Amino acid sequence: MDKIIAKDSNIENWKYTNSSQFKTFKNIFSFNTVEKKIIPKNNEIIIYNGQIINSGAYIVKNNIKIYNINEAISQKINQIQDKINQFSSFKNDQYIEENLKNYNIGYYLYFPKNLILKDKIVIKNIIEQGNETEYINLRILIDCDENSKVTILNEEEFLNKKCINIVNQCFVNNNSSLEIINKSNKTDTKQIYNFFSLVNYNSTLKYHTIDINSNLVKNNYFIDLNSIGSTCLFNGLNISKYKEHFDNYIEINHKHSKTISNLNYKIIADHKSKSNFFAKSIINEKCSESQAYQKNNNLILSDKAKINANPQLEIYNDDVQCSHGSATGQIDEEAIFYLRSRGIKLDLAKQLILNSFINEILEEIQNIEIQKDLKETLDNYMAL
Amino acid sequence: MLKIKNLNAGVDDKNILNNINLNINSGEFHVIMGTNGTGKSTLGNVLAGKDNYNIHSGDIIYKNKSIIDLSPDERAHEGIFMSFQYPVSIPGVNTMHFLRTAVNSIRKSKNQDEIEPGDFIKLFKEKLELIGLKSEFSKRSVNDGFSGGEKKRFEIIQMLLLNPDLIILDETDSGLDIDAIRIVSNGINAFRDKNKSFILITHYNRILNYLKPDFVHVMLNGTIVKSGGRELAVELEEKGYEWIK
Repeated sequence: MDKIIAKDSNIENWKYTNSSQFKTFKNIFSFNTVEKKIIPKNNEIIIYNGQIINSGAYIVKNNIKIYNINEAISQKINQIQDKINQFSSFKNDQYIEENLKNYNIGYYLYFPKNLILKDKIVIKNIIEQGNETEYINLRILIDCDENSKVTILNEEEFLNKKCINIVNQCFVNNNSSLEIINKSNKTDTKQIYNFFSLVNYNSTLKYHTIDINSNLVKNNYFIDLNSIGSTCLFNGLNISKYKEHFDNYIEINHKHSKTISNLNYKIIADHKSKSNFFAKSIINEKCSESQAYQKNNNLILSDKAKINANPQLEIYNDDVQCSHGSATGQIDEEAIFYLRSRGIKLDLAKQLILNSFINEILEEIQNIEIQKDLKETLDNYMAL
Repeated sequence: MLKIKNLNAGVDDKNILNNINLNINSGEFHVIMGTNGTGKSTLGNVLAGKDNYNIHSGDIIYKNKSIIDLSPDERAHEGIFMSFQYPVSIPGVNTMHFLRTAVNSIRKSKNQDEIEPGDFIKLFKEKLELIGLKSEFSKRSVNDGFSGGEKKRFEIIQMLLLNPDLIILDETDSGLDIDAIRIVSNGINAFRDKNKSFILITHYNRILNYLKPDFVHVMLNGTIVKSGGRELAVELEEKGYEWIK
């Protein structure tokens, strides 16, 4: 079995995480075949231990296709390899190379042309196998074809101790809008996640990610805005607790004029946890009339928690609108006193302020049902 | 209702209030005036129980019990309310949600049932109208982006809904135009009764034309140096503070 070689720590997106923390990634995990019957709801796709189990009637009716990743690539479905080849450098990242060479599970999800979906699609990705020393290589391809509008709720349940190395490549084709909401329960998971997206002419990628409840997480996002009107709205929240370590690197590359990116990321760090946020929006030379905004706000709830925040803009064109800001602090004691002076007890006052901090992220999610569900999940998580 | 006895207090170890003695009976309206930085707001913060505002000696007896060991929320449960001089903005916390939480916290402390959301909305809108604010106010975040006048009006709405017994008004008139002073004063006057007591901290006589206080006290260097009736405020406006020093 191949051993994953430690990464070059000089690479910028690995600045805050020592790759030796992933030293347990030694051998590729072999899945045992387990028969599982899970009946999907109308709008659900069930993936269990890497196998596509079933899709609901709404999925079938709308001609949404899901293939096993090996099948999609070997059978060259939708000329998928041509699309994959459009991705430029993988930054010599050995985890990515390892995944692309030795992926053992995964899927290709295809949304056909002119598909305007009123309801969200739910992908339930449940992995019950795995262990602390053998890694799972999960490879995902999402392909939203032209003139489509789709919302995906990506529910990941990684239910025991495991190491996982994920590569997700996502295509948003001309005149399309793809919204992805990540909701995960990954207690005890060590994860490396690399997300790549190509956003084409007049298309929008809205990406919402709520990172909670993991052991060690290194997420890298590389989003390319390729054509006029390519837009990315990136909206993230990380709540780190106990001894958790999170590291989120987000790189948005403006490669054409009239492209827009708007990034809003918040962190709440408690106990002895460590959370790192590094965003880089690059506006290249030929990208006139582009806009790039970054906003980052963080709350530290404990003296021993640590946050590194590093929002960066790289601008090579004068005719652009850009802004970035980052603020890290503790809960405002004046606000706490104000609420308490109205009879609200200390714990509830803190909760009100934390909820208001979180709500700004949740309110960006347009699907009210998902918003409520995430709010409930976070309320429960914060109460732990 | 309130007896402040030989109170020495301040921020951390620094003493700001020197040997304050003040008795306030139910139904009375007291005014504290004084130069800038003389300790008026410190007195308000000490009464409301703010952290770092420490009592070095003396006692505060409210409804026949010492309150110096009570937290700010416990004092609010007992019926103490302070209208802030500089109300803090809390982005993301909705005004109506905040106030319903506050009202229910106080009701819970009295073993009362929570107020029904529908009933609360009706009540909140009634009070907004009384104080001259539009109903859209209920969709905004607490003090966030409020003008100075809106902040002060919102403080009075909170007073009306929380229904306290001892009300400390810390410069409620500052930042208000002449019409707003009249509207806010009308709101306060409508709230006055024989069971409620007020301490108004102010620099100006104008609001007193509407509120007609029973007593006026002058505070200088952390001490109450002179007390009198309504006429003392008029005299201060004419002569300033020099003649008292």
